[in-house]
Amino acid sequence: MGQEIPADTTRGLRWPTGIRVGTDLIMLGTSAFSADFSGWEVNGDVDFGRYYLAADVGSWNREQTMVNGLYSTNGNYLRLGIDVNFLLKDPDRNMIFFGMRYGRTMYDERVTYSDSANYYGPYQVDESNLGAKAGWVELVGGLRVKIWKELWMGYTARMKLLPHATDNPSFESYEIPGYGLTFKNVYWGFNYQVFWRFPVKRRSSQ
Amino acid sequence: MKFARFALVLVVLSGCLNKPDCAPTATNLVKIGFVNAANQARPTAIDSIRVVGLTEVLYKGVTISAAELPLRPDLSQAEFEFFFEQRAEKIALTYNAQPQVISMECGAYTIFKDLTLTESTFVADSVITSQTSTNATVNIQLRIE
Repeated sequence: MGQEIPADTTRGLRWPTGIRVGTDLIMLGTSAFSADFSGWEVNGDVDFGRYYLAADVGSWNREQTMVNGLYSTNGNYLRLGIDVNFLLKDPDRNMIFFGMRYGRTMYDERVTYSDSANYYGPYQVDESNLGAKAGWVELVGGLRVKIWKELWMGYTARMKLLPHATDNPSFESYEIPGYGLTFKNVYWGFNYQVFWRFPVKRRSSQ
Repeated sequence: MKFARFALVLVVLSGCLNKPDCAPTATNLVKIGFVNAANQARPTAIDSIRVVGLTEVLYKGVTISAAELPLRPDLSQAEFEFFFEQRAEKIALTYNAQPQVISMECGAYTIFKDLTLTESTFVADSVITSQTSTNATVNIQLRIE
């Protein structure tokens, strides 16, 4: 006899009932209206009862003008983590959640600028970090609400911490794709997301 | 509990407060200090100081206990020759000239770090601070007896 899976969210691990795939509208909007930034982010999660395995994949490209030159950073990033739903026994499985992520990125950054040295005069610098890598930790919180059929919307606030970059021999990284400015040891991020949920139907046992 | 709340507020606010300092302290001048056997500043009558590769002669006919000597931003090694009190001494050092992006408003500057003495004819020498800075008191100390 097949064991019945509860439709609501309860404590403890359960067999997944659906996979949500979505995107961050804020990043798309920023990308559309910003002259120096382009990027996108795809978000996904799968439920195991009140626990959700979450993953984000994104692209982050920025080229900015400095007072004495240009700086650019381009890369892709991946975040993996777990969310815990604190809205229990909701018939629609709406969520108020907190969780953690670990982010990794591989990126190229380049700086070109003019400077002046005592006795040697003005000079130009053009340096790149190709294939630099970085990681960081995030504490996240937010909500997900079912809007219509399998359409969901939600917010995610991200408190990004502990940025650490490697393989950047030419200069210390300034902006890490997916994280932000490296000199900020605490960095805030915010997503406004839309999702489509694909139900997972468990084959009943004979 | 009050401390936990206070700590949480501090962590949250720290995301807004840590802006970069726009006043550049980067400089290509390495600060050399002359000291005696007792490790005290030693005023020295300098005939001249020469930077190998630079035609300009520095500190000609002055009495000083410290000198600021230039590093080339496109190189990673420097040699300085000191002529004083009927003596000729020399040091060679290596360094890392690296860009540092401060912010879009402040721009990028070259920092000179990892100063290492590779050769010295002085009685004793030591690297005190391995990065040049307008705030640094001395980078390299040279003992003259």
